[in-house]
Amino acid sequence: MKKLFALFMALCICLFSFAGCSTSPDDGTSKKQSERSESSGTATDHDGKEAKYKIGILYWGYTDPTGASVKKYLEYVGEAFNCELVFAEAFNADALVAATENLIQSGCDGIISVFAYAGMIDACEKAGVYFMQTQNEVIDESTLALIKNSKYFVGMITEDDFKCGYSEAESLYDIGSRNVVYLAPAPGIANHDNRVRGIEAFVEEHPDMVLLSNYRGDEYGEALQNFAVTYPEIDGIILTGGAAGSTETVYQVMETEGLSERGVKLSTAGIGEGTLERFENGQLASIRGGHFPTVGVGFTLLYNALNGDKIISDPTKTLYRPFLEINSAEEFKNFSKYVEGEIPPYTGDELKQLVKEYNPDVTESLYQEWADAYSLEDIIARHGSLIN
Amino acid sequence: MLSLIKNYVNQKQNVFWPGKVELVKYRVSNISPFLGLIFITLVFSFTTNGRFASISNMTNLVNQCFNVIIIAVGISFVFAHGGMDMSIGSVLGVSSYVGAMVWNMNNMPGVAGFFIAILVAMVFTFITSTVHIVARVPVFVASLCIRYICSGILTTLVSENDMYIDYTKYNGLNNGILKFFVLIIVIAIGYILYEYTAVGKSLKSIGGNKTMSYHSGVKTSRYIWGAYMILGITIGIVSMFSLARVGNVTATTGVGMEFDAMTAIVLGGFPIKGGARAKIRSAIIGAVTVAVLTNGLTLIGLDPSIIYGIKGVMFIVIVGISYVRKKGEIVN
Repeated sequence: MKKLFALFMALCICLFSFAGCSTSPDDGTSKKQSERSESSGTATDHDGKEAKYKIGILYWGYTDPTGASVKKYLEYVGEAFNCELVFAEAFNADALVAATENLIQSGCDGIISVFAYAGMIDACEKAGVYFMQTQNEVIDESTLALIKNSKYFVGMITEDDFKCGYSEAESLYDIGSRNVVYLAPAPGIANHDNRVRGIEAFVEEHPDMVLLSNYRGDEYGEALQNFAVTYPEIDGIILTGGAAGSTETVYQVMETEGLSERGVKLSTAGIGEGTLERFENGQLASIRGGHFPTVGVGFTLLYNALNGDKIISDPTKTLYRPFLEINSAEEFKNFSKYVEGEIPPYTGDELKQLVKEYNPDVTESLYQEWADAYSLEDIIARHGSLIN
Repeated sequence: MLSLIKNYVNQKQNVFWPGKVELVKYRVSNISPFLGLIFITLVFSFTTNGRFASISNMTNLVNQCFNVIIIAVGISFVFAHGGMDMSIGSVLGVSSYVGAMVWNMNNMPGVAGFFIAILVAMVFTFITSTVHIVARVPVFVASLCIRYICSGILTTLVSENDMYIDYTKYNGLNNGILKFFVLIIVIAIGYILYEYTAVGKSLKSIGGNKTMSYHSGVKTSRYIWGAYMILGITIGIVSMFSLARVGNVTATTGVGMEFDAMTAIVLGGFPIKGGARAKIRSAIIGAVTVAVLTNGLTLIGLDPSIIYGIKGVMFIVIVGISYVRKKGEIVN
């Protein structure tokens, strides 16, 4: 008992004695708004210039193609707007709340997150830190009620996931696939759940297309192997997303199980490795991508809010943007050139047109106009001439 | 009298006493997890411009290591006898869901959610231990089966919609001071049970040598059951505090909790095979170390990939020092 008491006392002394070293003892709980001018003096960006804001980014990870694109683009945007970015990653709810607390504690003025749980929103509210959700949305009523009463929740901007799922099934239908399966992460991730609803809605509207089975989880490889054995009539596979290398796993299993030889086609969302080869060898029917600029647009909404210009009047209403749909190797080459090339789909200067500081005429409807116009043609028209 | 002293000295001389070097090595391995924790605490205190040591961050740390410490207290009883449980996260998810259902019912007191969640968790840990003891299925396999069953149940339950609670109603449970006192109470009860009662002593004895313990009159099955019941209680407690902190239950609720607990155990120097050297404080130090590392490295503003790298190196250093090669086990 003495040892335990000694341990406890030592821990307390260790942790609390250094509270005196703190320059701002309650910096995590005090309202950030009043501190912003003070904190901006200490944050610096890559070039050593004084950063205007410190922004925390919370994503599921930055190693898969989607996460890597998001990180690369945000680094570019952060530099264009002279903001310091702190990246954190987490997947389960408890870890996400902890990561939010840590970002707040590290002095972030605002947070951009792909997930938004009540605990995260509440932590930001208490600390006076602006919170922006991108590439996902809250659909639960009780959390929406929390958002409605929130002063610091900026808004939600995401892709139209229902439409994405719907078009995935549609693209297979158009090339003649009638016996399909879909693979999706376990329920609970709103954008994947919406894509599943889109797939099921299309199948319901087209009785000649049969949904043989589906899998919700993270063992895509095993699930597809089982489907390949159980359903020899399978001729189409739908994947709701390609995070964490799941598309590559599916390509692999399609080859090892002979599904490719049998002419089975894949329709997916999220650009993975070897997409061009998969189009050329006929494995891939269609893929949706080009959604990483959504975080850049979300960044401008947060930046506006930090400047005191909240653009979205009702943060419980999601702002939807489209995916770019690619159906052939030729289209993918154009996509690689104009979307994933050196110049991003929205350049820093273009994004500044969405910020009141640079364009006083910015309204919510301008954001919607940009979303509606987003396409490969739109990108080429805006700055195609700059790309060789 | 002199002959008595001589006798005593002679007896002592016949007993094996470790040499100075061995003694130093043992002491270093004994205190290295604690020194590691102090070291990283000092480093973060001076490298985060005071943010790490601020009161608000102390509250964050209590919140962030709360779950793992409570689970680590429970799992110490299981590891002490050489057992394990791979189903902690999934059981936590299901008990959170059931607890949330109770909290969402009208006219039900909040404490009822706790009781039901604890009961659900205890049912599953009871099944794991029963399958292990009665059917003689290795506990790794038994708990893995329960893990899959619970994952299946939770995925089915949330397949249509996640389970949400009225976050504002139970937000009071996220109070750092309340959690601090809950931690103290759970640790104190766990410590007394572990160090001063037949429960802990018998479990350590079983971990040391199960057959010997059985022949010495220790009711091995009964104590193993008891260890899993204690683990069930801690899972139930954590499930409800976690629910109050997050506000909902999804298919990913609790995922990886068993690995977090195991990391804490190993990092704190708890012998995986159990036995007499297994100390409950090791699990607590490990849990705090993991939380402090994650928190401090984020406060510094490092990239997530670098954070993983540094955490890996720190773990190797701390475990490397506390690892006794001759015995081939992590010791306290």
